Amino acid sequence: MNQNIQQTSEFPKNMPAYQKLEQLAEALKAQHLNDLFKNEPDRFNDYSIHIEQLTFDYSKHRVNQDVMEQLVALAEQQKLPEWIHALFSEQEINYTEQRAAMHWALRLPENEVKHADLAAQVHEQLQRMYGLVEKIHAGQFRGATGEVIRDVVNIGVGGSDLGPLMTSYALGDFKVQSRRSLGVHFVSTIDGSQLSDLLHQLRPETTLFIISSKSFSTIDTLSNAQTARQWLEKELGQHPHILKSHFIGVSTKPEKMTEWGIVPENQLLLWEWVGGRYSLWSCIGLPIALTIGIEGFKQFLGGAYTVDRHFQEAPLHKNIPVLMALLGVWNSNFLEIQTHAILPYDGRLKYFASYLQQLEMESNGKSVQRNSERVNYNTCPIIWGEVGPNAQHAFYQLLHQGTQAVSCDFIAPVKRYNANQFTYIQNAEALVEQHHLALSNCLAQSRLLAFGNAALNQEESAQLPIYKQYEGNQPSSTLLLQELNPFSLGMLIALYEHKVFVQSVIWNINPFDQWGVEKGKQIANELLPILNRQQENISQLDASTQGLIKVLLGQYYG
Amino acid sequence: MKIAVFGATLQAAVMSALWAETGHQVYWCQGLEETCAPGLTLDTQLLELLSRQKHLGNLKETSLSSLKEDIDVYFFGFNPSCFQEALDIVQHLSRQPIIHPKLMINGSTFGLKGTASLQKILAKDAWVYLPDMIQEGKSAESFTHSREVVIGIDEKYYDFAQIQTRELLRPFFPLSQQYLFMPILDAEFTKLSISGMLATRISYMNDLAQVAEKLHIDIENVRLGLGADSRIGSSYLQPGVGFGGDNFSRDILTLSETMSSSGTNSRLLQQVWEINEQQKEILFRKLWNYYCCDLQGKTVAIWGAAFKENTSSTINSPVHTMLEALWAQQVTVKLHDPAALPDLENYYGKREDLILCRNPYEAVQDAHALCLMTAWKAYWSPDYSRLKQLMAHPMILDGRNIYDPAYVRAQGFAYEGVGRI
Repeated sequence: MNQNIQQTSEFPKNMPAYQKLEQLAEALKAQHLNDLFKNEPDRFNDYSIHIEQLTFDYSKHRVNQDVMEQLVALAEQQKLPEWIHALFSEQEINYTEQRAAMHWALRLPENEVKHADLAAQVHEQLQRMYGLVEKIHAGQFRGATGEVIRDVVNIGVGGSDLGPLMTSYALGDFKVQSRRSLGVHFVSTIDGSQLSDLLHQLRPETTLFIISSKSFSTIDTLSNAQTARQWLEKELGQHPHILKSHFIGVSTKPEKMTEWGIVPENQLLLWEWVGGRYSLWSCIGLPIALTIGIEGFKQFLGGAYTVDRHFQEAPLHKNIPVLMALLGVWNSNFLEIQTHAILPYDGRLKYFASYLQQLEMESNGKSVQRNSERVNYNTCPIIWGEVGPNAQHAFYQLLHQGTQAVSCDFIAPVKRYNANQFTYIQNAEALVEQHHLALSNCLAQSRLLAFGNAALNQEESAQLPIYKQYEGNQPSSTLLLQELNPFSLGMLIALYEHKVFVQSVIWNINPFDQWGVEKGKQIANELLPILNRQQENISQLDASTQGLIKVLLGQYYG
Repeated sequence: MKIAVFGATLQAAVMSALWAETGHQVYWCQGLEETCAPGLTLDTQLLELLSRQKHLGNLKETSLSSLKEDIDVYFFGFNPSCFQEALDIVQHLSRQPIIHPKLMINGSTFGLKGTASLQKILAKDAWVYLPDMIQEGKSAESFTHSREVVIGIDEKYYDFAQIQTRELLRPFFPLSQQYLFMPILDAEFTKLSISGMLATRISYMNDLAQVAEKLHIDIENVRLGLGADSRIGSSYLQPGVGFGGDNFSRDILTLSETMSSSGTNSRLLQQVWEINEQQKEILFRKLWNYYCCDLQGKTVAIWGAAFKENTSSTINSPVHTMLEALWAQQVTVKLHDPAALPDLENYYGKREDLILCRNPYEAVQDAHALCLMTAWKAYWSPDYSRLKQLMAHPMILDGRNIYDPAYVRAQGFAYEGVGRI
């Protein structure tokens, strides 16, 4: 039935629910969150959902029951249930690249019956990855000289960097103790700045590189890999067994890995049906598994799988990713709030905002519908953010008193420093207190943003000069995790993945391609010979670029 | 005198034997718990001595409960891991009608202030600490042949303790200048420091050996030259696959922990330990290099598993590190040791990639390399033509530098030593 779901998709503005929502928005715009809470004193109970270790509170959004009903109706009219069904199938819903989008298959349990072939394929590669992890953790992965590998450097960019980096950092408390201490590092930038910084701290004899590139042709990654290879060969000599002992490849392209010199037993595979920004669940997640261990990685996948089930099974009005998406649509398309801030109150989620920037903006930063018509409504808002307590000293001023309307996601773990981990056990008591400090700030900020002056004591606010006053009415969601662990982080990431998908359905766009980042790479390739002085003629270029090239080549002394 | 000896260490065995031999009546009470009395590995000389004294009746093995109250001297020689048992025994004694003070000698290495924690319970007695310097292999000699003896004495009952101790040790240390009396804590630290110094010498040599190899210098020449310097002396300068053993290793760890927790940022011993750990798999690294990082499916023969010759103990022996490294590369190991095979069999059980051989030549059959890990006398002069005939590839890795590289090479073997060229 779904083979033609893509052609039946319609322009959302024509949907009856869309029009109703526009009317509702007019009324809601006149209401302050303070009024909504007065009208519905029990908003927390009515506007929050709990699954497993996670609580989603959306009561501080500028919605009422009518709005929620119409938003769900909009989703239904956009055939969301059918689309969810299509996502969890092998259909090629990424129609511009003729690929399925089956990142959900990466977290299928091993004994899954419905997609037994997929699960088998996925677990075959996971097992190979676990084998490498085990060997590295046991101190039995050897460099060319026979010394034990002590540092692993992940070379990748985009999805091959942000996801593993964000997750490894977030789960640092769950680092497993390996036989010998193991450093996991990340290198992404094309200019080599991170790599050069690392190389002079590491020993080639004990360093292993993971070249992580879905296409194995990303120039950023291959140029870093080439530098790493030269660094090794300078010290250890040029033998094929150097490559064998110091490089692991993760890609969809075994032949390209072989050509580069990666031996088959060090090649981990993924598939075309995994988008780069959804690939951290595959062997691209090797740095994660190296950090949190095999059991930790299984937990991580388990968390995501739990959300996959929730997303497919929960009714739309009780479905967290659906609600996250619909609230985003409401804010962006009806309340005209064009930016969305991610504010984790946990320093471990330092890279979460930049991870979501890729996930959301690369997915839904599109303006052409599936029927090839341009959109005439907003799609993905600007996603930004920072660890909350630090951001309070940076951009919260704008949130509270600026002229921009901003919606926010507050994210915090309920408990922290409670697992007797060796990483923090010695200072646990003082750290727990610091965590409570962070939590109280999290609550204070979402309150003040929502209620403005009303959150202050009445007497105090009456006497405030105007420049000390707070408007409030900035909507936010709060996501509480029982604790930040591999399982709950797996849940959290999967929630956002599915949120992005739901929004793409509402906006009638394809979230799985990224044509907007392809052309720049090509043009860069055309300019490189000029900067390398292999090509002289630049007359075909625009005047600005010509001028800049002259400066870069030192031919311009204006 | 009547002496009660508690504990099942080599030191307890040596002291029991020596005191019995010199005319004392010794009651040896090995321990209450099985776990604290693991099979002692005694050298033949000591075994003979013990059985003779038992036969003569000077040495009686007994139990704590049947011990009489007329004992003059109590000696505690426990494994470092058996601190609780030592406490239990001291507590038991504190409830007995003993006329105090008695001489209490602690020989167990319970770390710094270990003796003091026993003394707290039997505070009315004269306490002495006799550091355990017994070396496995030639245990009794290692005590009687030492030039001087370090003894820690507590201030309380100092004179009594000193006189009693001298009397007990007089047959072995007749001269008064052979006694180095000092406070107990100082003696405890001295004991650990000696082990630390010896370990440092070994790791220093091993570190030098690695560099020597790269610079094409024969470490054997360097070793002989160093040993010729009277300020240095020649002991503990042999490069090789690293030190092992139970007590020695434990001393280094205890001292290293003591030092790092003292807040002085002392890192030397950690390095010493780390170098030794790396050294344990040096033969693996050499193999790995020789076979271009591909050992899968190969067979490797190992001669020697005991952490040193003349002992059956493999505790902290380099052989374990070596086996793990080889197995991780799917190598089959054929192993011979004159004494340690039961220990290994016990430890690893049956596995397909470990073949224990009763004959050294059986072990080299079809092997791609022969690794010598323990310098047992029997390995010093092998039948090279037989080796060459049996082995799949003629390669000898000499982890104790016992062979002459030129000679071995002349027999048609590839040879690698530790720092040899």
